[in-house]
Amino acid sequence: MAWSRYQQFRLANDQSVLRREFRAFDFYDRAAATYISGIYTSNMNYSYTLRINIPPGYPDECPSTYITNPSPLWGHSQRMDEYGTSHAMHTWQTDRPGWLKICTYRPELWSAQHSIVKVVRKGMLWIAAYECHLQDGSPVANYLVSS
Amino acid sequence: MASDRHEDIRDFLQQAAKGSMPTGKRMVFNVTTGKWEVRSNSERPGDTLQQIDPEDMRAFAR
Repeated sequence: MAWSRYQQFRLANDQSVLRREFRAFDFYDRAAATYISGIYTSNMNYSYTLRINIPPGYPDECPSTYITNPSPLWGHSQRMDEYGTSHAMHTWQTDRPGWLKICTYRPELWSAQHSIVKVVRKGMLWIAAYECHLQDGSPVANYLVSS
Repeated sequence: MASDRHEDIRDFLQQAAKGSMPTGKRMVFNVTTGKWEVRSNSERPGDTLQQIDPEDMRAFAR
């Protein structure tokens, strides 16, 4: 799959903003199955690898966000991927075994006006909420806003 | 005074998730340190801080 000129322009702009805002993240496989990846060290000083897959229809199609490391990612009392699609945990049933698919945007609410930088931010915010969950087992949703 | 302590982040998120952003405070991402911070509204924002808003905390699967 090759990106159209419009998509190339958009991705180049996204890359520019991403490098300015989140220096630990970058684009990979720019010509085809493009994704963003980076290591985020949380406020509790644990490291996570976030990966955002750019879909063929981007920017009109919602990207998918994963935590690829640690794998598996353990919650308070069970593996996080075992929750599947869960409003309480803000997760989706994963389509990449071993990676946790987290919900940063609902696809039906996604539009081209949202930026990749915001997806990264939401991923990092999910991790902050997840670390709250780790302390007492309360749902991740207790620390995020439901739509 | 800015705080990047997990307990302060937790308190902020918990209150915001209940429907009201904490009065007099905001949560920002400091791109220099790579950490979330809770700051008072009176602190200078600087030019390297990204403030979260309710939309940042919204999504999600149902």
